[in-house]
Amino acid sequence: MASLEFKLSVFEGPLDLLLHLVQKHKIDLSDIPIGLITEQYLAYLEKMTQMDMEVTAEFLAMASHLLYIKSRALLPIQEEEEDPREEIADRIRLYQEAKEAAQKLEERQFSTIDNYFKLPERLPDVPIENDRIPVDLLVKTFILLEERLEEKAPPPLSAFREIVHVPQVSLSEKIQHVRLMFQKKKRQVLTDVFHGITTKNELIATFLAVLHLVSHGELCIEEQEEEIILLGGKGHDREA
Amino acid sequence: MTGKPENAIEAVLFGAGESVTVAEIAEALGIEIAAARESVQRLADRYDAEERGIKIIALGDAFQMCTRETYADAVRMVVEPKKRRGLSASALETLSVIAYHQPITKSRVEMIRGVDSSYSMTKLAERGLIDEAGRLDAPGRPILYVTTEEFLRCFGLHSLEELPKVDSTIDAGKEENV
Repeated sequence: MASLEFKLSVFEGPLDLLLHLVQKHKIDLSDIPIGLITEQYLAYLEKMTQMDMEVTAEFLAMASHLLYIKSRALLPIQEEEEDPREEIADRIRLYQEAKEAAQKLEERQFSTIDNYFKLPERLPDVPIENDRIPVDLLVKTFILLEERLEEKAPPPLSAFREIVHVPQVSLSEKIQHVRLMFQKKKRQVLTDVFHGITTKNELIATFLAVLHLVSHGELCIEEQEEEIILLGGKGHDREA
Repeated sequence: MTGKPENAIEAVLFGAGESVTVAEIAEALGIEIAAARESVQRLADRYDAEERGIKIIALGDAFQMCTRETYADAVRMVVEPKKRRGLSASALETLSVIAYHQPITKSRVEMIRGVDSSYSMTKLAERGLIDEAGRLDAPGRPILYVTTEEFLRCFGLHSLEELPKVDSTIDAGKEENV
């Protein structure tokens, strides 16, 4: 009986353990002494339990598999039947290759640690939704708004003040105004945004404000039946 | 296209930053693939002969520029040094199985290793060393895995043919791609 090892090697799995046993006992894989291997394997699991090491399901499954092969090996081999030990021999060989390959790769894992590579050039993300709007629809809408403005009643007295004093319309104020509009109502038709505007300056300022918010991703544009819809909110959540 | 082909290639590789396939180089220059390959090799050899700060490496059928290791210390003064993150024994084993048997399914990897490999494979995918490559035409249509260009890069391999030779006593039985 082999003496108890005080330090138990940690094995990657049951095949790793089997490989170790095969190498330790110099076993010929083409003629595995299944009795010996099974006994050694089970003895190892026993030691693992004694050392309070976790014996995972994979180890147990292999244990029962080995016992099965052992019992099969006791019976005479039928004509077409494969030697039940061959399967386990193949698996051990396959595993051995993998382990050897891993060792070889380990030696090379820092091969290019001293070489610095450039990352691919990446353009900043552009919200895709905006690509589908034909520019001429946008222009058409603006012209429509302008025409609507002209259809209104003859210019009031206040219009004549423009000759002397042109009222300044602050773009930043308009931006804030439009922003607030969309906080109240997320989804609006473009033309609705211009409701109640009387002067051309205001119209232009508001239009620029809308364009500004779109370019900054605060608003999204969509086309729906020849109308332009604007959607607010950074999350771009839409009502279906 | 004006100018010497090698110089054009130099510009292309620098501009791209990432790896560029021989086919892409050939198309960019309007020349045959074989001629492109020759020109890149000449350029790479010239860089090596002059011990230039840049070297050109082959990765499969693509090429990429990188700094020469000779000057690594100088580069590290201005660039973040690369972290030396080694792979665990488990991950190395899993990676080997995939590298040598690709394309391969997760369950076959687990069959060869004899243990569950989910964690390892997730880690390898996170590091960009393995990737999905189609599915196997079999019940369940399991995903097939292969190694990536990043794998070649990290392990200093110019192609999969350069994988270190291992004693192969049995046929591993490659799985067919879909």
